[in-house]
Amino acid sequence: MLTIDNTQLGSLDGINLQVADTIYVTNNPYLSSASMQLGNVTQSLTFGANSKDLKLEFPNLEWAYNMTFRNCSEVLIPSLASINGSLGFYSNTFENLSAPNLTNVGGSLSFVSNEELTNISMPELTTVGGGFQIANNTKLSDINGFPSLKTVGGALDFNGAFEK
Amino acid sequence: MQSTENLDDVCSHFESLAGSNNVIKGEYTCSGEQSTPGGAGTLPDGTNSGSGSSSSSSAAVPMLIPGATGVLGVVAAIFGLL
Repeated sequence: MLTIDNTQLGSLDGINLQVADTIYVTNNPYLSSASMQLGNVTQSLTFGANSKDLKLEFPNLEWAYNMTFRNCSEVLIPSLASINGSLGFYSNTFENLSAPNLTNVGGSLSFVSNEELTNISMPELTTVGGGFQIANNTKLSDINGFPSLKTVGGALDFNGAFEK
Repeated sequence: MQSTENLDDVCSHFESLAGSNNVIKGEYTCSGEQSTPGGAGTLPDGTNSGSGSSSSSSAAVPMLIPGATGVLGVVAAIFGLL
C-alpha cells in the first residue's frame, strides 16, 4: 500500500512500483506530475486534491480494480485494458480523456463535473457492468467516443449540455 | 438522459428500443432542451410525479446495445438504481 498525503512533494520520481494493491495520493498541493510504471493495481488507485496542474501518466498500466481521478489536468492511460471494479473521473480539468485499449469496466464508469472536458474516447469499450454516468461536463457537447459499447448492466445516466 | 440541447434525433432513435422485452429494459427517459437537466431519478421539465416517457416498472437489467455508433450506441435508461 502506498499513501502519499499532505506532503510538499513536487513529483513522484523515485517511486517505481510495478504492482500495488492500494495507491492513495491526495492533498499534495505541489504535486504537478507523476509518471508511474505500474503494470496493475489490485485494489484501488486514487488521486485527488493535489496541484490543479497535476499531469498523470501510467504508460504500462494494463489492469486495475478501482481507479478514481479528481482534480487532475491530464490523465494518460494508453495501455489500460480492463477495470474489474469502477473507474471515475471527477472535477478534472483535462479537455480529452482517451483509453484506447480499454475493453471492459466491471463496475461503474463515471465522468462528472469535468468542466473542460470536450472529448472522451474509449473506442474498444464493449461492456460496463454497472452504472454509466456522464453528468455536468459543461463543455461536452458530443458523446461519441464509445462506438463499440454493447452492454450497460446498470443505469445509464447522461445529463448536461450535449446534443449528440 | 437529459440535456439543455435539442435531443430530438437522439430520443427518436432510442424510443423504439425501450420496453421490458426490448434493448432498454428499465425505465427510460430522454428529454432535450431542459432548463436544468437532472440525473437519474429526476423528472424532465413539465412532467409530474408519476408520469414520464416510456417508463416501466422494471428493475435495471443488463442492456444490450445493437450496432453501436457513437452516442447512438448509448441508450438512455434512467433508473433510480446506480
